[in-house]
Amino acid sequence: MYGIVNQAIQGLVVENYGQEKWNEILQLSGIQETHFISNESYEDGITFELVAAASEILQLKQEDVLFAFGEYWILNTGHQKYGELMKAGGNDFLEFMKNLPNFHGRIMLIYPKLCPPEFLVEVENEKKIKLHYYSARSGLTYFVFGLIHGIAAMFHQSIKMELLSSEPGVSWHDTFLIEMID
Amino acid sequence: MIKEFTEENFKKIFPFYVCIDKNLKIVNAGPSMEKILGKISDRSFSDVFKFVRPSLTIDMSFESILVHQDIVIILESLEFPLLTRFRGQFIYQESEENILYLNSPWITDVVDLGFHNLLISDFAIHDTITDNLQLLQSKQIVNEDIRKIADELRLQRDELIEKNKTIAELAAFPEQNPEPILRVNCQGDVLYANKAAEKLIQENDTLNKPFWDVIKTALEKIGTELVNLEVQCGEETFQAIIVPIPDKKYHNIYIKNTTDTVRYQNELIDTSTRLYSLINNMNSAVLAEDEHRKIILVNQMFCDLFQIPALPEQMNGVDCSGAAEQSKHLFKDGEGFVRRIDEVLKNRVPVFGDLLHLKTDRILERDYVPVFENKQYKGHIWKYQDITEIVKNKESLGKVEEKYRKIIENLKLGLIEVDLEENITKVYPAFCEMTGYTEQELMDGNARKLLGFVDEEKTFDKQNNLRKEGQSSVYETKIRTKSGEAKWLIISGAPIYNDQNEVVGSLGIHVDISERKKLEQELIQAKDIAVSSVKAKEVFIANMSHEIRTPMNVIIGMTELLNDSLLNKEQRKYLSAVKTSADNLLGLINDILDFSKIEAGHLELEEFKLHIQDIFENLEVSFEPKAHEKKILIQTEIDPKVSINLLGDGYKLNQVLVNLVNNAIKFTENGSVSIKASLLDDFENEQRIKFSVADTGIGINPENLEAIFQMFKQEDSSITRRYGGTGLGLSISQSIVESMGGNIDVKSEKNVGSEFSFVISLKKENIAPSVSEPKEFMKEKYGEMINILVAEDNELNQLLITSILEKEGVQYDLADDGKVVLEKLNEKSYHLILMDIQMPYMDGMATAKYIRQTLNLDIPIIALTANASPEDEAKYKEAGMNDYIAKPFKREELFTKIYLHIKNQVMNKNEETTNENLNAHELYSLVNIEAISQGDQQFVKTIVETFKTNTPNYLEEIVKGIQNSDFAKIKHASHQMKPSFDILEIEKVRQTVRDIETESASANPNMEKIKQDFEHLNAVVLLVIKHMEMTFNDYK
Repeated sequence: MYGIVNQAIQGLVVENYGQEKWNEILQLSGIQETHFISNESYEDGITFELVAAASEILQLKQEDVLFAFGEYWILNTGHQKYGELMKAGGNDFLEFMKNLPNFHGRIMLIYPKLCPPEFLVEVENEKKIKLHYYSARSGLTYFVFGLIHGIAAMFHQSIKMELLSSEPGVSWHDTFLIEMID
Repeated sequence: MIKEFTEENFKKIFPFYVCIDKNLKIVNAGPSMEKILGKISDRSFSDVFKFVRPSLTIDMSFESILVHQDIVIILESLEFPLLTRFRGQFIYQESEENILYLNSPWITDVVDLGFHNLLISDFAIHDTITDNLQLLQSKQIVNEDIRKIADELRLQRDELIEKNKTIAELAAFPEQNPEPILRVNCQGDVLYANKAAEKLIQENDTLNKPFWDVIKTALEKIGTELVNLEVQCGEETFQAIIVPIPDKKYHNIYIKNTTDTVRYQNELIDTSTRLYSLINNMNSAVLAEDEHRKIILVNQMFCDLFQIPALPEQMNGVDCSGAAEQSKHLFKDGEGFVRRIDEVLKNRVPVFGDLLHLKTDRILERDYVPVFENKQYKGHIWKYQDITEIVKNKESLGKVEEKYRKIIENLKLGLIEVDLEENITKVYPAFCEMTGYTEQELMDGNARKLLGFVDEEKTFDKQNNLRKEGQSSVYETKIRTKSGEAKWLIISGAPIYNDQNEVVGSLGIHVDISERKKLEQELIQAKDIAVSSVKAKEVFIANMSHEIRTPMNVIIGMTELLNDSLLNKEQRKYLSAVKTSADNLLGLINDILDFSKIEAGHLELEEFKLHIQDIFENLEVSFEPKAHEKKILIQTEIDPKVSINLLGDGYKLNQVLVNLVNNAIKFTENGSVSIKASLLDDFENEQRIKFSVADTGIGINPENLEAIFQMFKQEDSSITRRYGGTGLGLSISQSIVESMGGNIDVKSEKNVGSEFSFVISLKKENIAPSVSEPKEFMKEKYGEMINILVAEDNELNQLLITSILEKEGVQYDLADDGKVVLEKLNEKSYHLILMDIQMPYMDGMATAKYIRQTLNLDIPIIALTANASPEDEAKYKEAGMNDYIAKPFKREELFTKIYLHIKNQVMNKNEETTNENLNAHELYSLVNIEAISQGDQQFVKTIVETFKTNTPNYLEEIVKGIQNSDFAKIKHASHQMKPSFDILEIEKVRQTVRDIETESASANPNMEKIKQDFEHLNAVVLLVIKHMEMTFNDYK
């Protein structure tokens, strides 16, 4: 994964739990890097090690860590670093969700070493969509939960999100049902 | 290949297109274009856009635009110049006869999307504008990452530099340590030593050897635990901590010179012991508690006071928090005791002098001192002292003070206190009474202004200055009372001090002495009158004595001279009567003068050799006629143990005895008068002798015994009438005896008789000179050796004195007044001057002063005067005279005085001669005579007798020759003596007599030399004659 992901995990821990905890996490994970460059590609294992270590040090479930990370990714990392681009993603949650697949398609070209997930949005009606998530990596379902909740929060939209199915395989495929609540 | 786009697809692919007709009117535009620029259809192309590039080759015409197909056309919105630019190309559609401008907005900052309210979905999916924007954003993010890392690196670099410095400083730490630090391996080899340790590792240093011995021994045994050692090295003590570092296989040794620390510790222990001992022996109960009220220190007295049945040392650490409650029963106010302790402990400020009353009626004084260390409370100290006695003393002192206050008030002592400016600060009632002012009037005023007289200013100034110097004094002064009356006060002033021992004022005790002052004045007046009277009496006596003495001098002197001449029996009888009357009159005058001297305290005793035998003989001779007349027997008796060599004032002794014997004869009609001298004690240097005069006369009534010693008093008036006399004799005698250290005692029985006696001590004379008494002095013809200058203007007195002197062979010169005296002294030397006081031109006083002060001569001067009062005597001595003789004088008295003053001069001369002779084996030799006599002793005797008879005659001839400057006579006499001196081998003067002969025969004879030689000759000849008499008595 690109360094920006690991930076996001670092930011999440340092902002909420302090530098000391982050140092502990680094120490526990055995990761030597002290700095992550945003557009430099790092091994996926690093990210997963960090998540596992954070879970242990912060006494949180990995799912919770991933959720928080997803939400933080949108609300802090995305907002701080790609704020205007994020805004250009849509005027509301639904519009943004509709553009989500294109967004990831473009990223792949920009970051050639990135292996971004693929999204497919099925609009059932103005209040309900079905989101398909395909990824070469497994275990990031709760990250997606966090991401979507982050996007909803960005547009001040309350949502109800439900994992409809998870299909392991060459590509991990999760299907979510998202309902926008007024 | 592509036939036709639907309008919708066209718009998806070119959402920003603009279509214009031949008239350059915008026919329609893409939805995203109109999102940016609003509705622009039907508007003129030139109203909405302008060309940015190309700008020169193209103009706003259909034809020009046609020419510019297939090149990049950049347009700019006229409405949003600069902000909104478009990049695209013109394409002409022949079928429609219009031109399409296919473009995308040129956006370089993602912010512009928001500005134009554009979403990513407003762009054709193939359009990479948004991707480029994201790339740009990514680059910015990466740049930020790099900058952040760079910042962090810079920060870390700075920290590293700082840390390096710190490390370097830390590395210097052991080197800078003044205490030795060592690192040794397990074998004891030194791996590291800081500078301070360098001395210690000098192994040759014998002082260090014991140190290393201890260290090495410790290293042999050391395990993993650190070892703490104390090592004595010479006079220094070291502490060594060996810290084993097992994994490094070495030991760190930290050494500290603890010599001072050990000494301080020992001193601290000593001090602590002394302190403990001090507290334990203090006469107060002491308790020291820590901040938790645990006992640190307590002394025995405390345990005793609070009835604690434990030793002080057992009390250490005991909790005192409940102690007050436990001890309250000992105090009269137990609850108050507890309450006060709580209060004091809460306040934590020092408290001194809390008073506590025990039920036993003892009173305690309590002090509390909190102890703070660096402002942190560390405990406190209690001190209890039994002050019962002090309180009692204070109470009794108060009572005493009150008592004395009342006494002062009753004594009418006026007390005031004033400050340094003399403002009154305290007044006692008696002072108000004394001055007439009220207390308030005095308190409002200044002592000097209120009370002082102007003429007493100096007194006040002086006294005030004394007080300021801290001195007390008593003085008298007068003050002015309120009524203006003057009062005399005696004031005792003393300084008053403040706590800093500075004088702040004075206390004055005033006593009214006005009455006493009045009496004093009266007394002074009375005294003045008395003094005048005495003075008048003295003047009278002096005048009287002078007036009487002058003629008396002549009468007595002439009588004595007349008595020595040839007289018939009748003449001698008349002369005797004259002499007796004159003697009586002189006795009376002398009594009066003696009385005058005694009264003035001028009675002086002289000391010279006295012969009691002679005195007694003289008494017998003197009183024999009178006794014979009254048919009374005079008996004298001298204890044989009484020494013949005694020293004392024989004349005064004689005077006393004369008086007593005179009285005895006077008051005895028949029977006897016995005069005795008995030895009472014989000491090494003196004898105590009792003199007594006993008679068989009329006796004295016992009740009158005391009165007879009083001046001008006799036993009764009838005595005076019957026997005459002044009543001074006994009184004078008593005074003389008292001055000799004795007292006249009288035993008497009326009509049986009286005995007057006294005991005096007389010194023994150790060396009896061959000639020591005036009588002997004159007898031995020493008079011929002396030369006296007589200063006397009265011709009769001149005659009298010169007659006496001539009779004794004394050489003299006369001077009529003081000036002549000085002239004579200038011409020749004398042994002594007899100086009349009243002389013309220059009197005796002035002359004496001149001799002493100007001529600086120490020649003895004896005043001859009729003024013989004590005051006169003092004046003579002040003028430089050695002695005086009161006119009239007796011959013997004159020679006594002369003898006293010149004996040393003459005797020394004589002693020199005597000593010389004594050193020779013999003064003379009879060898030649005996040889000639051939055993005829009579012949020898005749020769000796002839020498003894003739030689003095020759000597007298020389004297006369000297007196008359008759050198022929001198030559003749000396010539005549020569053969006898040769035949008797009188070696000492054989040459002398020849010198006199030669000098007198010379053309210009030197009289002074002749006189000097003669003195020597005379002295030797007299000794030879004396020696002849003593040694060859047989020849007499």
